[in-house]
Amino acid sequence: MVAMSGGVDSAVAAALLARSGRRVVGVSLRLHDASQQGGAGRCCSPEDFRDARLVAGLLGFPYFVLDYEREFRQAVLSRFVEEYRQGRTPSPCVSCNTAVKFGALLARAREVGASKVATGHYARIRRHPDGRYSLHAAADSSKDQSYFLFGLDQKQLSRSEFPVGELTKAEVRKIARKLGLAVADKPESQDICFVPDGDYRAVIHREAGDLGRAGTIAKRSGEVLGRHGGVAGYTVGQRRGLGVSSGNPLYVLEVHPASGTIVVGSREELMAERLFASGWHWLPGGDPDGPVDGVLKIRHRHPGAPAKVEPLGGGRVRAVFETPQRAVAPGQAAVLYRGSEVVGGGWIEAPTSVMMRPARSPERA
Amino acid sequence: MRVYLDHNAGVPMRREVFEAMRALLLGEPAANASSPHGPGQRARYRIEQAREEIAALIGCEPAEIVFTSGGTEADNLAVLGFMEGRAGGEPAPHVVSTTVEHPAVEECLKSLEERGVRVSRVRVGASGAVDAGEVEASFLPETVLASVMLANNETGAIQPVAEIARRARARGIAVHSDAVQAAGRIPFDVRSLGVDVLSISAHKMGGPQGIGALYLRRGIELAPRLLGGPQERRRRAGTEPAALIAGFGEAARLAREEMGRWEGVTRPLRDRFEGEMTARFPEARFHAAPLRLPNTSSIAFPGHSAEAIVMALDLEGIAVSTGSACSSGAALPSRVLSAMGLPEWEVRSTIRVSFGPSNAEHDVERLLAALGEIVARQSHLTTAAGS
Repeated sequence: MVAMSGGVDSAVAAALLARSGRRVVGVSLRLHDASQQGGAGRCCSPEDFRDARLVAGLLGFPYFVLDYEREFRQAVLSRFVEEYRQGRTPSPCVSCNTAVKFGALLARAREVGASKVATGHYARIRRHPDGRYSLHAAADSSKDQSYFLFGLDQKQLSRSEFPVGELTKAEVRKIARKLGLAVADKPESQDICFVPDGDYRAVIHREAGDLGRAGTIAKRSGEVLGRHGGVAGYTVGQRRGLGVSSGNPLYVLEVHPASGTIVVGSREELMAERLFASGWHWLPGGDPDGPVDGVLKIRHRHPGAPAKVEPLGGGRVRAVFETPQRAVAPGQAAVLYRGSEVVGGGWIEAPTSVMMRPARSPERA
Repeated sequence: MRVYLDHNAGVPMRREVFEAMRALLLGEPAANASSPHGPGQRARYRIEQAREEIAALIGCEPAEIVFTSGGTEADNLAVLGFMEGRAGGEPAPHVVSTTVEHPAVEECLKSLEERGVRVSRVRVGASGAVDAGEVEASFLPETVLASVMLANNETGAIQPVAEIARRARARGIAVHSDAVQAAGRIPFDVRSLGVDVLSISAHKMGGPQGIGALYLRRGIELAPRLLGGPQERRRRAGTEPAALIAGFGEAARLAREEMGRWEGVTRPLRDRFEGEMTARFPEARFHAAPLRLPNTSSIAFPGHSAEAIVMALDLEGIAVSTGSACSSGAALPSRVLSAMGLPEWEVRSTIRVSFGPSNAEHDVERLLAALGEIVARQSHLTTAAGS
């Protein structure tokens, strides 16, 4: 079963499987009603379904549109809205992959007798002689999406395939052109699929009726620089759109949902030496005995920073960077790599424990 | 070999139909039937021959047949064309229909309501059939039209159109019937039915897609929906697609000559399927009206997702269907089954199997075997997930 968004990557994924003689059924997931948002060309719009359907028609495999609006709302959209209203910066694609594409859809695949779910993600899965599976970054590191897939467990990995993971984007487009797929030159989708034009605040307002608590924009010193209409949508590290001015560029340092205070400061103040994450998932399964050294990515476009990650029990970890990192945003996923392999990941916590202490506390945190 | 069991969505074209069309598409010059020259007259002749075949199939005069682009256009022309000029008056005119009409009628009713027409939709019983007495009870002094389908596409339920027409006629109410699923499959004629307007479609009886017809009783006036040339006695402008019409005529001829075949072939297959299902899956539920198309089976598998069953059958090379689809293509809960008062879980677990005259015993065997495996696997997964 191939999950097809209507874009070129999943189209080529489906084509490669179909041409290799595998029995393929194409599906598109209707996650939200895109027709009411005018958000054509991302996913879930009738145009995208038509594009996916054309690929299925060209290659001659069955194609269905499946309605996962309820699952998507529960597992992804509600959480996205609530996270922002709590002053955090969610990673909805991670929840969507774990709960919808490799959750509900995988279950559906088994029901219909399909052994695997394939997608157009740029990532790789390896099967080891001992029967264990590992998740790896894509061959094309500029397109790598393994960050969004850290939530997959062994069972999910064993039933997933990423046929374009070994290819570069250019190769994918070339294959699409060669096969005569109409989507070969379809532009890349950049924003989150259910957020038209990148306007998070509009989506949050539509869903929740407000933008969380309104309050002040202030420096650490307490100096108030301005006011804002709700914490939702402000992200640690954000510089633009604050509506306050100062001599030096100001960045969001902390978002406090209870008081509605947004703390801003200089670029230097944005640096963090460590983070805590919860809901941590080790892909090989089970906590390691001690700290694990690796490269930690704290957002999708982050190049990754060497760090030591120590399990604290209960799904919590502490990660200490070799060199301080900019803009550690609570709510984002922190994903640990060793070489190309994804070894674990979790959700960055709000730095409450650090806040209690003077800034830059030495030793333990 | 694929097994095709979705004949209510469309019937594979008969070879004879293809040959009849081919003769016009390749053999004769592609002439316009409105042209007075020889080739034009030849095309005209083919069209009029086909019109006679179709008239013979449903028991009317050829002059009472208006060709359209299909069942949907026929329904639109019937409902909107009949009401055109009547809407907006005082008192507001009233139309009676049912809750299980095809979208081609239902959407016209909604459009009429926006223009001030009052519409009553009579509910159906749990089996999908409407009660003629209830239809009559909803007639008002302002009622000008009753539109009731002859056979339902999802359940195969046959509605008491003759009885409704008899009661409507006594009050001077015109009657339209969408007979797209019935025409060419079960014998009927428009005179015995007593209807004034009736829609049919070629591809539901083995003809080509893109052609349908409206029976319009002599004396009934309709406003055309397409304006242009004087074709079809000014009821439907546009050059007649001679090849499509010839194919439709051939399909109608075959349907009339082999009228017993739909019944003779599909009823034993359908009954065998339903009998075996009852024995093997006692929990399966059938939505069977007392009068039903002989080829249609609507069956619910409690606890199972119809969508998953349809996909799994497709992977086994067997084509059946769920309820209606929305614009994005996602299967939405069937409006027809919901209108029958079925709970949502039952609607979402219902598949439709519709046999055709080319099916045979071994198709039923394949379906039964595949359904057995699929239902067992899904039950196993559900149990495993629940424990």
